[in-house]
Amino acid sequence: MSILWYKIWSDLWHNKTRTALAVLSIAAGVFAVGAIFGMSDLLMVNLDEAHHEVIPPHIDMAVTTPVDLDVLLNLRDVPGVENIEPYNSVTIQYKTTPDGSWRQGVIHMRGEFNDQQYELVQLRQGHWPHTKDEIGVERMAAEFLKVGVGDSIIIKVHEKERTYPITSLIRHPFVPPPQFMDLAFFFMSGDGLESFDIPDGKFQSFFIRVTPYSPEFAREVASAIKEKLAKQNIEVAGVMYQDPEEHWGRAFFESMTMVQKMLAILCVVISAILVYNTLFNIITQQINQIGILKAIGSKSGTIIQIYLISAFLYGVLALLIALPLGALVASEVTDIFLRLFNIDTYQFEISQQTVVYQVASALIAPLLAGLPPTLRGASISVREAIASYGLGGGFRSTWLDRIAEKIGQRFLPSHYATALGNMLRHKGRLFLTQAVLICAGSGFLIVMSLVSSLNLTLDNYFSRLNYDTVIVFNSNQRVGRVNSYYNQVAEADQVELRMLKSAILYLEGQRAKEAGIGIYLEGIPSSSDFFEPLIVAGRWLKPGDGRVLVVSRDFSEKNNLQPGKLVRMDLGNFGESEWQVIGTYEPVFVGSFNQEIIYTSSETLSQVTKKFKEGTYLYVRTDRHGQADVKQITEDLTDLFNSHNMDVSISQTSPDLRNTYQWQFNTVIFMLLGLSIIVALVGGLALMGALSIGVIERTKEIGVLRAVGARSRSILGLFVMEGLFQGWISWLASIPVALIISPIVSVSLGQTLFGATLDYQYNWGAVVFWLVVVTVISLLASILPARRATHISVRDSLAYA
Amino acid sequence: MNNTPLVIDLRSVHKYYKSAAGDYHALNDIDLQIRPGEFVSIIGKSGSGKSTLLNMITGIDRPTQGEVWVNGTAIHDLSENQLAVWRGDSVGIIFQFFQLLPALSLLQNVMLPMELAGKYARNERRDRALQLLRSVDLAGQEHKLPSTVSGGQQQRAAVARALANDPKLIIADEPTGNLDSKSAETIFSLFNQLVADGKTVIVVTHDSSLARRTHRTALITDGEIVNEYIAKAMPTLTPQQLLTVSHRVKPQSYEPGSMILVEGKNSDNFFIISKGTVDIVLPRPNQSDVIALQLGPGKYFGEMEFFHERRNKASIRASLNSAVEVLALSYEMLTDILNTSEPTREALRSAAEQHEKENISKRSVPSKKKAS
Repeated sequence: MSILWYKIWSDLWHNKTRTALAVLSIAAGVFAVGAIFGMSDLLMVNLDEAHHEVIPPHIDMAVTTPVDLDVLLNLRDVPGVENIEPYNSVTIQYKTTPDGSWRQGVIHMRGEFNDQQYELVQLRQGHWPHTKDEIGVERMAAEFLKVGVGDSIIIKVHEKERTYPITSLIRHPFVPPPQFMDLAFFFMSGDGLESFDIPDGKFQSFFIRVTPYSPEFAREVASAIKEKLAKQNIEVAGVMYQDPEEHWGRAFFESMTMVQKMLAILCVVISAILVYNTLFNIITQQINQIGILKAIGSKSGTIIQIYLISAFLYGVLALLIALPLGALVASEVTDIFLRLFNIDTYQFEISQQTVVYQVASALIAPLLAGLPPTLRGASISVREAIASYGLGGGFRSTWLDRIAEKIGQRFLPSHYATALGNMLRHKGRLFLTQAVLICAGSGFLIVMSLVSSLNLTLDNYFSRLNYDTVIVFNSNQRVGRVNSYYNQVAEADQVELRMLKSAILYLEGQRAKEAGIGIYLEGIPSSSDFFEPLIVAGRWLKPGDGRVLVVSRDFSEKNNLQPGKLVRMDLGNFGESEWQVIGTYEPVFVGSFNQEIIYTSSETLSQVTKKFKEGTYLYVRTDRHGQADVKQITEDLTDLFNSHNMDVSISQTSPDLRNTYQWQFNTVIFMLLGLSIIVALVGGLALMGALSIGVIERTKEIGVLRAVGARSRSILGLFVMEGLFQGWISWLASIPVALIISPIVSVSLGQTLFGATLDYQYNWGAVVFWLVVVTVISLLASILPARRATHISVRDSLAYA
Repeated sequence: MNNTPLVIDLRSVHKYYKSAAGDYHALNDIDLQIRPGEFVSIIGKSGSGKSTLLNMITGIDRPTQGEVWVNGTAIHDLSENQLAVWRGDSVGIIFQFFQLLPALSLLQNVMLPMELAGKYARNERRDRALQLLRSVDLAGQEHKLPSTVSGGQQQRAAVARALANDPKLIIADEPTGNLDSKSAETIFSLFNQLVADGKTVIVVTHDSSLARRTHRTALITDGEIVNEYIAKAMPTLTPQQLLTVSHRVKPQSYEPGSMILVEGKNSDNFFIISKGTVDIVLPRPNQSDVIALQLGPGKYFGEMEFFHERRNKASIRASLNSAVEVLALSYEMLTDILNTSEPTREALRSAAEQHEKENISKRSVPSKKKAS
């Protein structure tokens, strides 16, 4: 081996702590890149692949009452329709054991499971249900409910309980994760559904694909279909559109991973700063050796090569650690998310693109970071390099040192004053270490402020939701009838029945772009106190309002609908009319499972639809508000209404809704926190590295201290105090940095991730928590170098090299 | 006249350093010539500029003004990289604190210059390094790290490293400054051996006893080289006094055979010979004049006259074979100097008395040499 290569290897091997610190810091950043970019890559590819596999329909339409198959198949004549596939969906109540509680579910039925065209459900175990007594369970629900083929499900059929044996596990590509919504999917044949009042041969929903596809053309075709059905007095209950190319969950993950990618890149930048620091310190420590090398014939280029190769080798070692680890985590996290969205992953996958990013981060970033100190070291003259500065040269006293000296003299014991002064000796190194620690601290405070903002937003939102649960009937119910029954459940305090009407909103002669699920016009009594949305422009409804609308801010921005704008509304059988937007409200979160709601007064909606004092959405205020209590009251009400032939389709309690939102946030928050922890660890490594180098540089000084009587405790204290000062100063600096940045981050992250403007709250509790964390990090980071300092003997430290 | 090309030729070299207190004149108009095979010591107090002077010769530092020629190469014109390459090829440097690379074994340290210079084939380097270590009595220690051997062993390894590329010139900066006397002696013996092998060795030292063992000594004080012949002639003067004398002497040249002093005439200068040889010619009654003595560089005359009557006691001429250069110091200035240096006064007086006796006795003794 060449001597110079041996020197490079020896420098790495014989300074294991320093090498480990540099390698780990690079590995942290490269790991973050691998985990996040890899996860994003694999997730998107697998999401889209799974999406294509099931041949997603372009349009999913439902009518208000079941119609003959022929009626639906005739829709193939509508220009642009490629094909139509009818299906049925019925909401039910079920339980898994006789003494269990009733839960909500959906039975999904196809004309012929073996001959599906679109949104393919896939048999995973057993056989397709083909008799009226057989039932299949969605496989994700089965896992959640801990049932399988051979078990039974008890379903409430007209107030009676009926047991169905589970004959199959089936994968449905479009079901919400159980953690999002407790709504299990089941599968039955056509004659099985007769028990649920869906005659065999009749259908209430259908899938449509159009050709050629474009989102605008799909909407045009949907409108044409609605018109054709309207001519046959068939009312469309709802329309959903799907992008055939992209999985519906893609947008959420793209937003989430975009933020995380930025954090991962920040990790790489911070670790590059560490490499800069490390090489700077190595070169400072070896400046004498550089002088000798030049004195005995080495050119500057050779010096540069030696140290850049060291930086490169740090990167290679980091890559060996981070590459497999990042790939593993990326694959595992992808698997978790894909399973959440009911997508199978079959084997361990590596994103090749991410490997390229990781290699670049691991090799190029350290090289670039190491270049400035290397060039500086290589350019130093032999005379400067081999000159001896005795116990400590090259320090300049600046105004900062003088201030620190004054503070130390005035407020601190001499020991600590010395530590404070020591900290300021190498201002460049101090700046870099502080930069890393402040990044870590600010990052943590920003994430925690995001958490507190999210919680505040939820608190504020739910404080405006003055109800505890909502029950949705299958069909319109009369207010009087509802009122006569609901108070039989003692804890049901007050109710408000609202009508929901599907509608098409025309904007300047064009169909409005609907937000994924469709527009529903909800009539609220103008004097209602059941809901007080946050109005961001214009005003809320008031008594006497005519044809006025309050739309969400998101919808308003997308369609340029400010208060005052006039629109045309097509209410199907109830014709078209002109309405005016009077206000804009802030939605909580926009997502695939949330419907776009436009509010009007119930009086106006009744006048337009000629349906008075009836509705399908029952909002209930209860006496008790705990999650279990509200759930029980909801179940009691549902049983009560069902027993009086007021069939309940679905219900949702406010506590469950909050949990759903919370779960969505937590997924993102945990990942952000995870990255913050990585940044914090890298900060700790930076501090440890800086202190370690300080020990090496001050070896002779430590020897002299020992020679004049300093005990190990004093020497330990010097370095530990220096570490603590660094940590505390970074904590102080992080607070204003986070104060300035976190409102901006909260607003933009809220929009990016959740489509909502968050109510901002700075997390002062996190400030205290971070003080504790940074104190611990500083202590841990300084103990090792401080202990090493105490082991330096006078003889060794004062011996000339 | 010696026409051998110079190994080292410093011409009017000045070096200034900038400091917070202003410009510091580290080297002041240095002229130094060293010939091949010379063993030269540069001696001076701490801060006198000897290491700076050495740095000029090795190219570790550059002159602010003046020229530095080493083996015919104007190193003051070379770039940093060119200097590094030149050093690796042409100069072996030995430092006071050994300066071996701590992570490399003694063998690797010796091999390193060969690798940097690209001299010697790969498979030769190891054998050569082992042989060099053997030559400095470090056989069996080659795989040890510098920190595990003694200071003397480290310095010997440093000597071996300096010889790695077989340079003609060896420069050592206080090579024994950190060693015990036995190790120092070993190192110096090595240097003697190197000189015997034809290398030119320049040593910076503060140890005058070691300096005396070299062929020449250049005394440097306050950035100036004291004329070595003045130092030889008046060794009891302090460096500062020697510098003062250097500033006050007036160089004079004489053709071969020309008279410098004529007996009986008034004398007003003290002379130190810096080049060539002078004959001291004594007249004898009824006989031809005799060459009583020949004096060479570093010797002096005129001291008898200084102490007695101020009239020449003998005739002194440049020898017939070569021209002579002398450094003349007026008696007035000599008086000033001697007033500040009693030992020098005593030494000169003692020499004067002895020379007077010789003068008298030689006038009556038949001489084997005849004056022409």
